[in-house]
Amino acid sequence: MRSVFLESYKTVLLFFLLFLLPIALNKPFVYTILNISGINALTALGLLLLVGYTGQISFGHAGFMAMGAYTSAIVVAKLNMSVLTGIVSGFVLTSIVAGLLAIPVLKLKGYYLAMATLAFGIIFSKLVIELKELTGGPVGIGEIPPFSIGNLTLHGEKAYFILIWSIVFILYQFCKNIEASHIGRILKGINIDEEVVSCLGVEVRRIKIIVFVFSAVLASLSGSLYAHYMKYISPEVFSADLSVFLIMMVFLGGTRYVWGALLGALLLNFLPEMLRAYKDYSIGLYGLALVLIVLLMPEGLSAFLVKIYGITLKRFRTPMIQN
Amino acid sequence: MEFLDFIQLLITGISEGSIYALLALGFTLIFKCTNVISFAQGEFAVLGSLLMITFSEFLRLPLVISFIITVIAVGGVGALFELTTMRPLVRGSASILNIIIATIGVSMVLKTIAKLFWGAEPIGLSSFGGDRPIEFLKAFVHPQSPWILSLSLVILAAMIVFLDYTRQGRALKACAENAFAAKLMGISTQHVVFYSVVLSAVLGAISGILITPVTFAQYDLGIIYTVKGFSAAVLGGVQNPLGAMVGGILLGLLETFGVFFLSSGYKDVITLGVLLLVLFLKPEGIFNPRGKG
Repeated sequence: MRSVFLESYKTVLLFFLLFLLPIALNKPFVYTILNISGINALTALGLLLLVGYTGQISFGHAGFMAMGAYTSAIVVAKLNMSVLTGIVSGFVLTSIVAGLLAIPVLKLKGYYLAMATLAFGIIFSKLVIELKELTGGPVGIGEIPPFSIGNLTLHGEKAYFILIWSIVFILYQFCKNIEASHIGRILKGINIDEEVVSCLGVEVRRIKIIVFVFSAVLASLSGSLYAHYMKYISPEVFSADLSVFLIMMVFLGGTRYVWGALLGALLLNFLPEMLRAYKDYSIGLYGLALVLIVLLMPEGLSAFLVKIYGITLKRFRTPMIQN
Repeated sequence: MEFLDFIQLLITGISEGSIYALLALGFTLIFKCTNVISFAQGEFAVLGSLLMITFSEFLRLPLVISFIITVIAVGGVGALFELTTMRPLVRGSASILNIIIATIGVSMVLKTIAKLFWGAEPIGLSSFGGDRPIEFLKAFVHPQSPWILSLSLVILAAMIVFLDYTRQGRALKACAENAFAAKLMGISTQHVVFYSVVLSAVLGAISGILITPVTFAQYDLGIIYTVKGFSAAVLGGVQNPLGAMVGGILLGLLETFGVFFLSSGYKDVITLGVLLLVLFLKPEGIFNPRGKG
């Protein structure tokens, strides 16, 4: 029990620090970046389970984000229904499409899986552009109403900050619990050797499909939040580049710890602001960082930080009497 | 559909398909001896087209010379890619996931370089023999089509000769068959991997150069080239160079006729739909006997 208590205490501390961040930085744009980071972090958490733990890569999750965003926008802005109805219809549509896609696509492995999901993402974004009557084509959909439940409507950056990061907090804790449970061990087992896991009596195919659909639904949720937060969506937001960007968050942050996904999301949204002078190079710099991370620290930044933390801790604990 | 339309579509389809065949061959060459699929493959095509425009349109160098300089330059970038990324990845026997991430990283670097030097706007290149449409059997075809057809045919034939009749080509085939045995026979597999990567970069560059007058060149087209080249390779079987060529031409035909019946906005949807269908139904390619994929 003690360790469980300690773990959740760490999570609370982590998020407490995060909520202090905008106050400490005290700049107006900080909330905007934090909100976008949080929206991305939701998808990244799902991808962490799918890619990081289960080892099934997907370059199509921008497509699922688009599905959530467009369903929300159409249901709420065009059909005048409630925000929750929009989000839930996004869930339903996404889980149907993701489930139907997952059945054949998860039979593939490695490069084939990567290309197939990439192809799905590109097909979906082209369809969004072509089906003009429904999606507004290349122009997109504007004037999407803000997020609201009943009579409570969210206004201002701070309100969205609290909403988005509270959802991230809940899902972070959920992912941590999954990781610690027997399901987490099954997922990691699938990553290492599918056949062994299936020989131990696990229905690997079913578990993979469930994780795929779950991560797609998380992407749909983050897409819906994006639509209500930005109030305007267009197909170019959800291009294949976004899928790559999301995978990058997972890999830069590292797949060993769940908070790696949050670290990746925050890092990749804050860096462009800090490196504003190098805006033209930023994509290339990320690419370079990816190559270096894969070659030098394949477990990502979070594992690297933990390692450094461990080394410094040891320094302090052992008395220095080397000479 | 009228007969004239049919002829026109047939020629366009085959010429576009032979571009895909060149791209697919690039994938096959690398995959054969390393089992690596490089997600940076399409960027070499983009680099090829942009460099070609620089040399022939901006610097006004003769076509042949621009072509040669471009191919050599992109081959150099390919060599750099092999030395800095592919070699450590292959030597460290990185996981497939890490290889995908690293080659995507390289593609992002190349894309940024392209954007920095050539900007974000699409740039055009005039056809090799003037911009007047050519009449063939009373149908009008793009002036670049005969160039694409003849040049890619020559290159594809040269590749077959290379693979079957030269020492290096046979060494490559030996590595593909069994890298360890090839090593025991005194073949330097590292050397083979090096020139197969350079060669595939060159093939990418050539396909980029040839297609530019028909479409145009833009820094961010790399990913589309990658996915389409891979689609063609999968269609024919990734291990099989001849299959990759036929797969490319088949894909080009499917795309051109599909666009004729639907609309041009669905061009990529058709190709990628074919990719998904092949992957779902017969992932070892349609020209490979089952289990030899």
